[in-house]
Amino acid sequence: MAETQVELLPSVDQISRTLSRSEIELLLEQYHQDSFTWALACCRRNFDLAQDILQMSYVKILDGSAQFEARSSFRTWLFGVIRRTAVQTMRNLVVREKLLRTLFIRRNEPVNPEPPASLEYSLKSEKLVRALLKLSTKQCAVLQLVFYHDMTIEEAALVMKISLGSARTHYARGKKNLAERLKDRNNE
Amino acid sequence: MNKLFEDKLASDFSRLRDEERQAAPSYRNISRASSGSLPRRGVWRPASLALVVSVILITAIILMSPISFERTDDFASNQGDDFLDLETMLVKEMPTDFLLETLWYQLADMSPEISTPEFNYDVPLYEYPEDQSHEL
Repeated sequence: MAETQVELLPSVDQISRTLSRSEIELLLEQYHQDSFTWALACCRRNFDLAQDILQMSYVKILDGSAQFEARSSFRTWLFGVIRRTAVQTMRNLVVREKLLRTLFIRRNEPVNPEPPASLEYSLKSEKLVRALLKLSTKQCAVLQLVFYHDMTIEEAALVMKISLGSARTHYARGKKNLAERLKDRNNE
Repeated sequence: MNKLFEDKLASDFSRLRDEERQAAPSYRNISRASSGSLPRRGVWRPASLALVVSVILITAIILMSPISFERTDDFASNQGDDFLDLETMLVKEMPTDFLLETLWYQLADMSPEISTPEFNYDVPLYEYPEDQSHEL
């Protein structure tokens, strides 16, 4: 089933500037799992938020707000859309939360936010996730794209809309910091 | 060491990927929700169009209507000098005058006018001695 779907998909070279809706849907379905895991990484492993971000990204793509112009592979472009949507959503959430705290919550009132819904990981994966969450957003994103989604650093730079040099720096520093965090976790 | 760490990292990420992929919601669920939220934009378009059309219609009705909307200062100047005649204005009965026809108002009307008392204080005049300091 998956093989026949892949055969039906147009290759990047064949893709013209205007993709039909059915072609876009087919490509979205093919990359759905990858997209979801990338959305999960973009929102610090918040399961509910990842679903919302993915849905908003699909809406953007399907209603034509985000258009694929074949300047990169479809997956790279799709990841870029998801990342931009995640950044906007997270920013809105932070502003809204700050505003609500300023207006409606007294300073001496204890604030106990509910922890975000998360997946149940195995012990090793949880260790990795905790270490990743301690890295900066960009370092975490570059490592996720390279090791998790098997992208090159060039592709990661395209997704994140940063220069290749910056991506390389984030990659090197991220790897170093992650090694330290994992070592700390092992010592604990 | 670096290569070893990279290999370990790759296997850890691969495990994480498998776990997260298993938890991913199906494409149908999310795309159905996405297509369900698509008409939202479609609803706003006719609504905004209707708003613009109604504003244009109201403006047209106001401009084309036979009732002339004159400015208050034009209106005052067109009435002539008689309009501001104080005597005429005083003679005219206001439609709210009946509100004043109360017992208290009548009593107040009947009471004699109290005149302001005249106070004639005689201020004593003192004679101040002449200043002769300049002569010293």
